[in-house]
Amino acid sequence: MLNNGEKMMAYEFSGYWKDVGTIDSLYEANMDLLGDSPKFDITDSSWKIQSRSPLAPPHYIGNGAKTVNSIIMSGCEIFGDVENSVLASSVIVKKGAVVKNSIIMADTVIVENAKIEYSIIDERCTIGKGAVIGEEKSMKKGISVLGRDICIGENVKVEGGKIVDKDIVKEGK
Amino acid sequence: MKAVGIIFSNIHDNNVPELARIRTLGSIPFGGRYRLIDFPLSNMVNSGIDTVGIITKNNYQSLMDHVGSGKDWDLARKDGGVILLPPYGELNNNTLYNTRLEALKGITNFLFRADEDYVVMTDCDAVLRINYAEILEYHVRNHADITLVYKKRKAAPGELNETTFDLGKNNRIIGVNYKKELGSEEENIFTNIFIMKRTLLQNIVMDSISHNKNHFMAEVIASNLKSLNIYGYEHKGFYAGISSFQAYYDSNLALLDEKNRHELFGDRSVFTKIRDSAPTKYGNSSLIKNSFIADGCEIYGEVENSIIFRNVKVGRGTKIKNSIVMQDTVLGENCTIDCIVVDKNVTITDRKTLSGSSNHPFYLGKGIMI
Repeated sequence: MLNNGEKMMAYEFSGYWKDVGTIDSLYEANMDLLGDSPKFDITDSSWKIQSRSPLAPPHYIGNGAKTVNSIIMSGCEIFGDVENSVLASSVIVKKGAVVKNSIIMADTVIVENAKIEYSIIDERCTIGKGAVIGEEKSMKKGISVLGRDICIGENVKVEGGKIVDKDIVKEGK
Repeated sequence: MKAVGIIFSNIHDNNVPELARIRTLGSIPFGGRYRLIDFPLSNMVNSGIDTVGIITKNNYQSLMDHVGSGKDWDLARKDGGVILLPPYGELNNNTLYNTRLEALKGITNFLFRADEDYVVMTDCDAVLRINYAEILEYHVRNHADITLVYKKRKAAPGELNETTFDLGKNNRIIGVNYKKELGSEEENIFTNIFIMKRTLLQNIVMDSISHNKNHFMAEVIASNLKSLNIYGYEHKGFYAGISSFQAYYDSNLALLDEKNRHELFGDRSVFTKIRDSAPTKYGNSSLIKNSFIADGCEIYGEVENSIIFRNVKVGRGTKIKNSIVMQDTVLGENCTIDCIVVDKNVTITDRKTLSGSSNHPFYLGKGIMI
């Protein structure tokens, strides 16, 4: 067309754009939804993002729970601390558990005193009592990722940057 | 299950005049994302009933909007499904009904056209999970003509005008009492759920037309306790009766109890009209305790012992306590509300303080601005 001398114009898109092709960019795109004035505002009622909404009751936040700078979907039950995180529907965070800087997908259960930091956890995982998943971003080990339906046993530690695709019942196995 | 369902959406509107002034009792919002009619409708669908007639009277726009084609309850069907039965809907039906029996006289075509053997009738004044198929089994086992469901309980504060049963051997109903006021004792209080053969109901309705009977409990049930086999069925699970504004408030807050919540929603089978909302967003300054919160909210303040419906916005420094806040309501910054039922679309501007009391919650009407 250019060779034929036809008029072709460029249009600059100045809104939010993110290529979500890697674990890191998927993580970043999720985190861009957070904050009091987020980079990408999904609550904008003039440009509603349509999706398939789960048939779940509203989420419940218990006494002593903390939900700070996070987005939480229906069906969740939160008794522990959730900070800078994105929780999909029906995630359960039990007492004493801490979820920080992480993305937790639907139906995952995080049992008492488990700690999740800088991680992406897929659907229907179970994180056992006192287990520790991921390490702080500042440790520069990267994001820990748990695949779907993974069970992590009591007190198991999953290092930062590790990708887990099999159940870990005991430390080192 | 070979039964047709009939839901009376309006019959207890006077229980909660505040909320039912602009809608039917059935379309009163409940529990963060539901309407009262969702509970009987879901119970019917989960019990295998696939034809449900909804009797309306007035103010039913919001009900039609909510139920729509019935697809969210899997009741959008070519054969059966959900059928709205408005007043004046049939030939020669030119009076507005006042009682249950009069309402039934207006739907004789619906009753005669159905081909199911049984009828399950319920109102929208109770929040409970109940399997009608089990009651039907019990009904057949007892060779009952009519089975009425009751809950053994104490009266709620301010609860008036209930029907209670005296039970004989094997739960046969031997006495029916209408009580203007209930005592402090546990009683067998009727839940307004009936099961009977469809042909029996047809005969009752035709007989009522020819003998000008208008009151189902007095003229049909109470006067036929000997000639018909009428049994009671005890509902043992969670039950929240919406018998007054106070009861509406208390029943909502009852969902903050884990046991109640799991009994009602445990198997995720309460259906409702699904709308897409973003997940709820909590700001850096939010603090939440013991609350039930729907999708689409933006919360920057504090929420305690409360039920928050969809798309509610809570500004910084604002405190919501012991309250029920319905959808699309916006609270500005540094407000405090305590023991208030806030209807839909209310705007509360910055630095307002409103407070009711737990035994006398206040009500803010739909769409008002404070």
